[in-house]
Amino acid sequence: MRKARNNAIIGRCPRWHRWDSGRHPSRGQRRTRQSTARLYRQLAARKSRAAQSFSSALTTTFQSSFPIMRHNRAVTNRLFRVRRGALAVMVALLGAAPAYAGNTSGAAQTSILDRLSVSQTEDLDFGIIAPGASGGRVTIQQNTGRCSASGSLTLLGDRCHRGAFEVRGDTNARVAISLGSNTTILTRVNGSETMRVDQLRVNAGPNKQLDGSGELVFHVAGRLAVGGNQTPGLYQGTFAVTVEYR
Amino acid sequence: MKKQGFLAAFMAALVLAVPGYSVAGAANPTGEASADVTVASRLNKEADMDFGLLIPGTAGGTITVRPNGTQAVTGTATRAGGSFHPAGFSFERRIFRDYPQYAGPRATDSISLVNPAYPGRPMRLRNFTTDFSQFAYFFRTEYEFHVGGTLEVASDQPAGAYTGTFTVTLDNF
Repeated sequence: MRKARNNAIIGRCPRWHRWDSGRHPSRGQRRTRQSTARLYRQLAARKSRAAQSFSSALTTTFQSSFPIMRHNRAVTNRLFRVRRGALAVMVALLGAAPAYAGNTSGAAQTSILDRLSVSQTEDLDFGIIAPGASGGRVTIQQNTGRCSASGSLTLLGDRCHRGAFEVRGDTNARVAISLGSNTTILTRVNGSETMRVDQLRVNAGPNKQLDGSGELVFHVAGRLAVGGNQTPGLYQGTFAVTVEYR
Repeated sequence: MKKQGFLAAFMAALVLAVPGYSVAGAANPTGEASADVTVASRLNKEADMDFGLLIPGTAGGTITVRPNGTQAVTGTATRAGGSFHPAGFSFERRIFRDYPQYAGPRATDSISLVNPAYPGRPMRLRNFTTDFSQFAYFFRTEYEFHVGGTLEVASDQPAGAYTGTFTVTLDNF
């Protein structure tokens, strides 16, 4: 009894023996160091054979798929043989299976627009003005181009007209027209006297579309403030126009 | 016995699941017949990649459409409207049979977009990206993914319409 107790295993049992509670599973005896060592040797030999035949990954897969519930050598060996055969079939089939691929075509597309060019075809001209004692304003209607004077001003001749611009670009392209500012200052040539222009606007709004030839004409109008007894002379100024695709 | 029965059923299912497996039968040739079998593709195109209207600007640049539809622009190239979206594809996955993997086009691939009026002045589409994810489709039978890319625009790129094609491939599908 003492020897048997000394030989009894107190510790972790191999995985295959977990169902057992103190009895050797195959012989119905208590586990001893000798029997356990023998079992370990058997397991090592079995693993070695398995490693020679199967990849470790597939072995792991099959061990998890077919857990051994009892340590019965006959059943174990039979299962190993079956697993070995099943693995051989699997490996053969996987090796013989063709590599499948699905494909389809996609298209990529874009359009490069013609460069936009803007040129001024007519200056914005408030015409010839005869100032009065109190001054006034000269207004050009943005849509009609009609000129009118207020206060003590008198418009002479028919030189007053809107500024005209021509745009060239991509056919039927939509563009946005913007003015740098809706005001500008006119300065007398060879002088320093000034007049102020405000309400600079593009006719029919800033968003337009080029025609089928890729062309567009638009106009800019505004309102000029003339002081009383404004110094006679030619007054000039500039304003910026920007056209962009949108 | 139950385990063996399960194993046999598993092996049978395995055999049936692998296309192309055949059993050699007795040879008794009496004639010859042929047929072309076309398998309908389960990978479909939903939308082409579209960069819309572009303006090269003074120095040119690149326009990138990402798989999520956002854009990135470098240089002086700018977008000038039109539709703008990545290419879209969809597929139907057979559960336990298809485990598709995206096989291209990839970031290292490139194609040319050609304007028929200027065949010698193509635009290069490169750096393909996709939102294809193997984890996303795992529990789904229908799946859609997108492919984006980066388009190079030269400063003197001739105006006109440019088109090009690329092939999207899924492996194990």
